[in-house]
Amino acid sequence: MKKILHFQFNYIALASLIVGLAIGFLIMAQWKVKPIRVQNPVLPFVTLRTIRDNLTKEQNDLKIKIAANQKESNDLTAQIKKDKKESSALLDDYENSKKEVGLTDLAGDGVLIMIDDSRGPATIDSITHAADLRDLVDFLWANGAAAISINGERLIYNSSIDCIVNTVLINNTKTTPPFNILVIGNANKLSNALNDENNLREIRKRVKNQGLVFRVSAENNLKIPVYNGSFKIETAKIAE
Amino acid sequence: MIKIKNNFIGILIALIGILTGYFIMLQWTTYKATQKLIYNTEDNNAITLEASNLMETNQDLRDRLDRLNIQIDELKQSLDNRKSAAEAISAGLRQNQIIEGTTKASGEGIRLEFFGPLIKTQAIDLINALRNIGAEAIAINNKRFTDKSSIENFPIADSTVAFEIIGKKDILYEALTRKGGILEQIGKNNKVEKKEQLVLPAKQ
Repeated sequence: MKKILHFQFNYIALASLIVGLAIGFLIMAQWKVKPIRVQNPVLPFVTLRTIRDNLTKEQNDLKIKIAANQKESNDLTAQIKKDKKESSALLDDYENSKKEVGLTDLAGDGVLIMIDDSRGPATIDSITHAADLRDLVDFLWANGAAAISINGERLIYNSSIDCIVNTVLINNTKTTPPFNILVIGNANKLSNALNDENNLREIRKRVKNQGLVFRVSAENNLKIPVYNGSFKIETAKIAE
Repeated sequence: MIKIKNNFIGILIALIGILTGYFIMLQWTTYKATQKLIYNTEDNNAITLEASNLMETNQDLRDRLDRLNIQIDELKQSLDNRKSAAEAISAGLRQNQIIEGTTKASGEGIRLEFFGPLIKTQAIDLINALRNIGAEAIAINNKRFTDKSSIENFPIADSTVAFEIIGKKDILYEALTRKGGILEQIGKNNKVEKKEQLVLPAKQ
């Protein structure tokens, strides 16, 4: 009996010793863990993400300031015209040209288009691509749109709609679905063109088969914001 | 007495076992998190691309803000009768006229010729890429393409389609001809030439 107990005790002691050693080892390993040297020699992943987020915030701040300053510039021009400080013909031309190229807010009748990813499982055809938006925008210009914005981004001469990995960039600004497209123009003409079954077939096919969301409504008094991105004509000159 | 002792030892071993299990789990999850953090190459590349794009964009935005501030100063000076803003207003008007295409435009740039028709989506994607790269004025087969133009109204189905693009010729050339760029993606037989001077017609 004594021998059995003795054996049992030794077994328990041995087991406890092994477990104790293991715990000690793990505690030491956890305490002394060092980050492995990063593969990317430029920046560690976490710092990259922080930099990206800071740059995004800076971009937002700059765009807000640009919109505010453009509006101030527009107001000053209007004041100069009122006070007759400069030629009114020159100022009229300038103000009209600013409206045409996207340097003022614009209000008018038109259509609102909403395009969004399917609510169902995500497949290549059930999500909205940058290419879909490009095709849609070209279609809208062909049907008499006077001004277009997508999720608050005014489209002008240098606007591009691109894709980086899974993100859509409009005017180099990250935007996410749903995409609300405001279009100022002849509401009847635009609505009829958008609702015509023979147009935008690729999108219609995906609406039917994949559940892509695509809605069009005629609207009064849409407000499209002033363009607040980069804007430079440095090389082109008026040719005589 | 021995039974109590055995029970106590059993409980003690059970507790030690739980503690061991906990530490093993902790070590494992820390290791996995560290591996993901450092070796997540795909996320690294995407974020690097985003950050790089943002750096360039933000510099352009700062430049625009600076120019707007100068313009505001000039307009205020006009209001205060200190100095006429006519030149600043005229410069702004000229710039807008180039964008609208109401006048001819000239400047250095690129001539890009395709030896075969393009399909609509190729032309749309090309125009998008040109805008992203910095095209300031575009013409297709000698017809001006402006901010409100649609590809539907342009002769891209012709046997030869020539794009003339005013902008910084070196930047345009490099961006168009780089490996994996838009021309490679379109895949059509083409010729790209830098031009010291292009003259684009006004829009019709």
